[in-house]
Amino acid sequence: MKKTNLWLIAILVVVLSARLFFSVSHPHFMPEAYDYLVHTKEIASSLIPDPLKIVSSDLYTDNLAYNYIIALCSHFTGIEIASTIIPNAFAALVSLVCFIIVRDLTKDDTASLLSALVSGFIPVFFTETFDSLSIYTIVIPVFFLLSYSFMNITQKKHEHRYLIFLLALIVLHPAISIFILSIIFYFIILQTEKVKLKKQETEIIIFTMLLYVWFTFLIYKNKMLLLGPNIIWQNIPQSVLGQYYYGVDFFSIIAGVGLIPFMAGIYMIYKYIFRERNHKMNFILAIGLSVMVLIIFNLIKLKVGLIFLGIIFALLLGLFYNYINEYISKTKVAKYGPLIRISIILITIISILIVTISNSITTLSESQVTDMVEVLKQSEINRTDLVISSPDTSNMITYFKDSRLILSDQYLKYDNPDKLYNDIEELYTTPFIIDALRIIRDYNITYIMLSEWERERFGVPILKYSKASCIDFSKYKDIILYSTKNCLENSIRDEYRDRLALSEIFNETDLVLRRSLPD
Amino acid sequence: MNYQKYLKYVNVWVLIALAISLMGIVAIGRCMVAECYPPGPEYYDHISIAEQGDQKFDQNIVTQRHIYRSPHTFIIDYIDQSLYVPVSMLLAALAIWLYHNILRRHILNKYMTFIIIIMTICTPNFIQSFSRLDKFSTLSVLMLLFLNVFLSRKWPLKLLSIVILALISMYGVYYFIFVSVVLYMYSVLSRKQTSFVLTMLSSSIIMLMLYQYGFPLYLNNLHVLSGSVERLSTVLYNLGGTNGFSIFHLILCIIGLNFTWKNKSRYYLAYFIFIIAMVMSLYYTPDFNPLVSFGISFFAGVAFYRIILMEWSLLLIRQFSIYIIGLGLLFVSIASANHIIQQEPQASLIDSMQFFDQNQTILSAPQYGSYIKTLSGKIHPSGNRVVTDAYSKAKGDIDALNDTDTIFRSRNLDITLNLLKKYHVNYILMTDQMLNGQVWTEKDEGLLFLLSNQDYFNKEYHLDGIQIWRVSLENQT
Repeated sequence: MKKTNLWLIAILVVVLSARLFFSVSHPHFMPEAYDYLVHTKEIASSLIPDPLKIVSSDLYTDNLAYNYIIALCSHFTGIEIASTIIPNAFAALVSLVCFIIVRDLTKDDTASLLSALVSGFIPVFFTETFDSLSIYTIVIPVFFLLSYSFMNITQKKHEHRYLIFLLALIVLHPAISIFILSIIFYFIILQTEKVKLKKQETEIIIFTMLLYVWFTFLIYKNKMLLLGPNIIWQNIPQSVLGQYYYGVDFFSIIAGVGLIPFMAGIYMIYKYIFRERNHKMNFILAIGLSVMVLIIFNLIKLKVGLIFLGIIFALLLGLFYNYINEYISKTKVAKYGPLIRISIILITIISILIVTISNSITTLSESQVTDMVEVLKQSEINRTDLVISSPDTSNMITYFKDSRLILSDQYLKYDNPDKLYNDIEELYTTPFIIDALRIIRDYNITYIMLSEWERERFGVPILKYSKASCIDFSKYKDIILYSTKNCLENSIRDEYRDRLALSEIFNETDLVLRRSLPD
Repeated sequence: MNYQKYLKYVNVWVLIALAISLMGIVAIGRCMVAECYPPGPEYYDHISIAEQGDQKFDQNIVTQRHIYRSPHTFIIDYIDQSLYVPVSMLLAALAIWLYHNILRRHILNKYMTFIIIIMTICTPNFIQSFSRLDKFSTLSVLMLLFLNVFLSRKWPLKLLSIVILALISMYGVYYFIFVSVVLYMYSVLSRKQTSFVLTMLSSSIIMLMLYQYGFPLYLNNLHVLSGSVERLSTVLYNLGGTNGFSIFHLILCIIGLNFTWKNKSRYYLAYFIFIIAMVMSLYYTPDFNPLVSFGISFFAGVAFYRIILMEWSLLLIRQFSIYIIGLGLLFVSIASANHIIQQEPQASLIDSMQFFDQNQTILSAPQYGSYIKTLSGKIHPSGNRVVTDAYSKAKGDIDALNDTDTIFRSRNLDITLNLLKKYHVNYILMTDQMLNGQVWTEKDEGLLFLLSNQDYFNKEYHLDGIQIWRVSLENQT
């Protein structure tokens, strides 16, 4: 076997091992993972997929395709092991994809291996996905494989591959929209350079646009009719939008992608825009540009955008290394070439690893997930209870306790998330028991969770009305679980008692009005 | 795939059969869910106007706004409800035959014509207009007839176009302006002097007649749409615009514009119709959406034709592209047809209309006003009135709309009763849709809270999601 392939396998093993190491060193997943786990658990409960479930599920908000992959594997290993291994295995494949792309662009094995190694340890990609069952672990490799096929569409063998990856991405995730936007920017870049599209590119673009429009509107038709243009912002409540999209600055990009890849990437962008023309590089630049535009216009989360940018900068790092290599060989310091190359590689790897590992350790140590799980296990929450928490953690509660929830962070599932979120926010922030009781009775809330997530989101250290007689609480470290069951059983005030009585008079199925009034 | 064996089916009769089949499917669907009643408010609005004979003011609405009668109103008046399906099929067939005539004689080969008309039939606007028998069904036929005779080489037919233009102007002055502007620009750019002279002559005559006999201005119909989001949602069917066009057609249209740009002199008329209608639709009134739809489907059809004829280097991609376009058209057609079938009035609303006696005033959401004023009562016409209907906003009944909104949202009994007294409201009709987001989102919101007061409100009908509350204002002090 070629030496390069052995090195590549070694890199894949190292990346996968590092991911698994950090993942298993924490007993529980990050809160974001539990949305996937809830659905995977449902799907995995039967060997044969329920056709009704498939039909009634929402392809994107339920991450149907991804959940089925994990559910299928969980039949052999158990759900938690499958949820640990499968996403990390997909994420490790990003290194393979980067290797393939950089080798195609540079024909330099060392540059390709460097890019593969760096892409496996991009700080934002690593820390956001090693323990969160993120769908981006499969979306990113498929996206860049699709891009690779697009860049090489003039070769016959890539026609079928393009179709397969395109269909896979369309079925998996709305990130196909980023690809479509990249095509548009690619077209604009070629127009500015007065370069014509190749015939095959024209054909593939027409086909991709048609398939995208048809498929997306097929899936989103009902949501579009219901939500209208709000669907573009994923139906996120107005109060939450500001927290998701808090702007972009250079420091956040550097912290997310790594200093050396960032600097190398910036230089290569400058080189390919102003000094050198490369047809394939134009598409990579178009992807970067489309992601930046989406971040600036608050159409994707900053962290998701940084994941895409991180991979692009990893690719550009490989090109930068190849460029430096060729440059050095033409200069007087060519005799020091091996030393310089090794230095660059070592500095890059060490700087990336330090940032990634420290970020991962910080993420694990600061997480209250273990405490939260402990609280849930000790509590008496059951299936009929409704627990209010931050949308980030509601799925975790549902997973462990099978209880009901009002709102999760999959806002597209809800017709009116603004109202639901505002009610939850009012419940946490109001100082008045009457306002809280109104919401508690409206939704039949039995528990209110107060952990680091709620404190951070709503800015409250404790519930101000928690001293009310009908509210009990239990505390574990910094997490407080308030029980509001008594508030539902007792009559509270005349105003509510009378309104409750009046509403009970009008039996909704009767045609004749009952005229009796309560005492 | 070999398409040669299908070429023998490329003719206008296949297109007419397709359109009629589509109308038939919608009609069957309506009969299954809505007792064969026509969908959409416009048909009922015209019936209501027709039943009032020569009245100048609409007696079926409390604001008694001015009645504007178009030729469509007269047609509706003469058609029995049981004939609306055959008439809509006939109009669809006529529109296709006229459109086919124009395209074949003046612009295109038969295969491109065939594909363009398929595209047109599959647009939401075509399906909606001809299955609902709204004014665009007859207006489209008149406009196509006008173009046929105007572009004819025979002078007697050209002069007939003046009469047809006069009929078009009776639908609204902005349709007249639209046709005149398109013809002026076409005449100037195609350098056809006779057409220019004819256009000048006919426009002058029409302007003189309008000035002499009064403009059917419909100026109140011109509401400037504010905000790009609102505009987008009215023109895009996929984003909820009931009178919009499909984004699938729009994508193909963009491709078609790209293909035709180099030979645009051949397609001047299509360009002018499309651009001017698009401007009118985006900036003035969504009433122009059906005309935009004709333009979009024209260029979409050109795009599809060129895609089939193109020499592709990626044969598998070509095959899939053609399949996707076909599936896309099918999907849009089915979605539009389903939307029409599910439109009001549904069986539950129709049945509830039997509850009302004559000469009552009924308050409901504006969307239901046209149905209530036409269908309510045990005998027809019943003389029942509504406070607002689907055209209140377009026809300037802003005060009534605001008052209706206040009634629905206010929890102040005095304010609500005073407004109900102002309009002499006898009944309030509520549907499940109104309770679940159309008007109210919470249990005791606004009027719903006040309904518990039995001195003034009593529920007298509740079946299949329709509630009718009687309003008793005698107790008010």
